Amino acid sequence: MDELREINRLNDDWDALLRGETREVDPALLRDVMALRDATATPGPSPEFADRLWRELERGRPAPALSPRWQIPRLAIAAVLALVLLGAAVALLLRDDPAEPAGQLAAATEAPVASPTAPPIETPHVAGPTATAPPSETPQVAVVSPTPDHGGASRITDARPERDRPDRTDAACPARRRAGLRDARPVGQRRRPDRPGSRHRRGDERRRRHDAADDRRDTDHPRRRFRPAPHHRLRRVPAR
Amino acid sequence: MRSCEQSTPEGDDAVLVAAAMRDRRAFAPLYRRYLDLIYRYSYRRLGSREAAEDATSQVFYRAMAGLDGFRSGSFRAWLFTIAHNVVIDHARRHPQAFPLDPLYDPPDDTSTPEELAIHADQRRAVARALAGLSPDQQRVIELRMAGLTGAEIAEVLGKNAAAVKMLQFRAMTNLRERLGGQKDTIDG
Repeated sequence: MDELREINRLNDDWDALLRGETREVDPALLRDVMALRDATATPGPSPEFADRLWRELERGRPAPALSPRWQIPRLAIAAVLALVLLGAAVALLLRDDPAEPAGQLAAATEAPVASPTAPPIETPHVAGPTATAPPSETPQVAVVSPTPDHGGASRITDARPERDRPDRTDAACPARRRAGLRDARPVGQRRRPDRPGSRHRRGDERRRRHDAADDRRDTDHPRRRFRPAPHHRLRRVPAR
Repeated sequence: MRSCEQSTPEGDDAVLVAAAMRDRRAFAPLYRRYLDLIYRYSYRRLGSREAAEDATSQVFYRAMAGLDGFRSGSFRAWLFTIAHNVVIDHARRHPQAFPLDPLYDPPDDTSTPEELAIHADQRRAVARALAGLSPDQQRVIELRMAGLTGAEIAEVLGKNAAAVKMLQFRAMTNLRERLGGQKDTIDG
């Protein structure tokens, strides 16, 4: 009960101090409040700040931006975030499968839907000496009839799921498809198809012959695919 | 106390607020009356001039923008509620804000160097004792020093009057104990 009375008295005294009534206030409280006021004294606002803020408030402008002190870390954080995002984008681009260049991807996505009633025009050669995909009963290649949208040119698309396709690079390269050739080298090491008008097209015939010779080889044989250096070759030990 | 001299009856505030609702330029007397209190409160809580200026700007902009939402009661409590929220937001966004410099001393040409040194010691002791209070007790004392009554503090902190009275009592008891202990330590 005494404590409750003390609590109320302290509150009333402090309220009286705020009203400027100091006659009946506990002197100890008065002393404490004075000490607290001194200890928590802070500088007041500068007249320039007061005028500037009032002008901005009169104009109805939004609250002024944070002081330059706070803007510097924000700029630094924004710059670091932009760099991180850029790095992530580059990393994603580099992670793309080299066997799926953008043009091929676009061709695959823009290819018209195969018409089941259209007569087959062209059947690409997909089974070669290095073909490793297991034969399946589902149609492996869908042939698309010429459509007016594509100027009458026939477009070929593979109806199978992407993981079941034997070699997507060959299917997307018209020159190799016409020649019926395939590149036996690993996907990342294959030569890019030449652009029309390139001076490198002069070597097309020679390259075609070379590729044909490659195809004739049994490239699945490990000794032919990976030729070890002479000093790595196993030495045959004569049997006793 | 400075805040006592600046505080005015509630009716005066109500008249000014009603005028400011009709014409925003009539907000000027309220701005002049409370700029110093709000700035000092922000400075005490945030500890730097830049942060106090930012917070004060936000408080008055929000007050002018939301003046139509003020219905009745104490305008000072309503304004300090905005200030309390702005300061909390600011401290959350910038947790690295430094504490109030305990050595700030208002200029006083009449004091001798010895008096100034004693005064600085006393201020340091009170500031240390104040920093040892619980956050709620500190808020009550800070709002008391800003010139708010017990009822207004309850409104600002969203507590009932009895809870504020209890916090205030505990804070003062705690302060006296700490200051007494520090004095004994110094004297002993």
